[in-house]
Amino acid sequence: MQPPVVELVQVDKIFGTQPVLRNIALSFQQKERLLLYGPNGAGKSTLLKIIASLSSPTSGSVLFYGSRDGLARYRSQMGYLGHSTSLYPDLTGEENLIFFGRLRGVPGDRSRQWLERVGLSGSASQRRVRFYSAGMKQRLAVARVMLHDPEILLLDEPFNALDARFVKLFSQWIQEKTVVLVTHQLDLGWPLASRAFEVRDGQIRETPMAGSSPQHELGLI
Amino acid sequence: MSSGLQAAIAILKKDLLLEFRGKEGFLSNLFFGLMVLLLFTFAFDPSSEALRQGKAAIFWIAVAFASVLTLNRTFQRESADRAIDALALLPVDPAWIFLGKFLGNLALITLLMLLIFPLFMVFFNLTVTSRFWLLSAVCLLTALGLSCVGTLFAAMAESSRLREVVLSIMMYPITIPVLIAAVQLTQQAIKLTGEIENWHWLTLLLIFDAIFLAAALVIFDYVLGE
Repeated sequence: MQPPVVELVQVDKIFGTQPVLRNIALSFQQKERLLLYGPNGAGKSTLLKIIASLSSPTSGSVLFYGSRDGLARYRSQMGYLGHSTSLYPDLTGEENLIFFGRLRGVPGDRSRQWLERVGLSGSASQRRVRFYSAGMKQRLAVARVMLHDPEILLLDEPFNALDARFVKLFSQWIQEKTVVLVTHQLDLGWPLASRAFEVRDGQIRETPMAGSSPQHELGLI
Repeated sequence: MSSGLQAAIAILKKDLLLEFRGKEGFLSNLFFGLMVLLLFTFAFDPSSEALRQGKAAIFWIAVAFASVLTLNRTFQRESADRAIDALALLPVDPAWIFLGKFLGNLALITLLMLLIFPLFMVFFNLTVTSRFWLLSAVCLLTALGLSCVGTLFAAMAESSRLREVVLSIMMYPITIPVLIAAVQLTQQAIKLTGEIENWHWLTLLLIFDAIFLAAALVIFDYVLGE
């Protein structure tokens, strides 16, 4: 059996004196799609940042492909979309994608293809991102993340500001990937997931996938 | 071309494009530097010994103040919408990211010097002499030192709410040896006669640049992390 893509072993995260994550043990294999859900302030985004290698745990360890040395390989195959879009407001849509493409050795043609796929080709691509609507920014951020065809996607509330048609399209693109998805929109996230975890008070608990989403059970949707 | 070098060049091009697209940033720094120069020119009696001995210091005060304003913006664009996260997750050595940012600052500070210096010559009635090569070397080595320390500290200060103040507080004390060496060597270079003395200041500049560049390349990884 192959080592897990990421393995968190007894991970704690403390900000100042405030424990945010406590004794987290979590691992996932290739092609698994994990859903992390829970109330505001439960530690979901912090956990995703640790999985992304953007943040270090206060204690415990994080292994990539079974070792601490797998980080470069992991980063080359991973795309991360956080709360912010990670775009430059004073570059145009096209300049943003070409810049992020160059950072990863992606040719300019593929950047333009992605602009077309997310519906931002033509005059929209020549406008500065500062003047985009929230939905357009989110689409461009999706294109930025997908640009280098990552095998692993780490997504924090990716459906925010997206219309139903684009959510459907995006959901199709990520079907064949390894995904860790943080969302409050369980009606969108639940059907995509192969495993689900509730994050609450800094701890995680796996939720059985059989049946409807917890939101259905609670009568929220 | 290695992927790291490719990333460094992309960051350099992007920084210069954004700097000159938003002209107000660079131009206001330049005018600030020129204003400092102008005020000092009128503050001293043109025939006084103090002005004769302090010319070089006035030039470097103008450059140092204008440079720190430029350096303050180094990581502001990156943190505006957390583009820094996308850079931090690149599968390249973070030293390449530092190199891209550092070269952008080096280009901008050198340009500031190139634009301030002609007015410095006019205000203080200086002429180009055979010692121009020394002046060029001093300017380049000082720009290297300021850019290197400034880029590193700008990254450190970025997470602070008082980043402008923090950068100045951290940067000026560390760069004092560079500025003293620059003043001493510039004073020598603008003299029309006499032997050039105090070559050890040039050695100090070289050593300072080498140490800080090497240190910055090594520790930038830790600075870029949380």
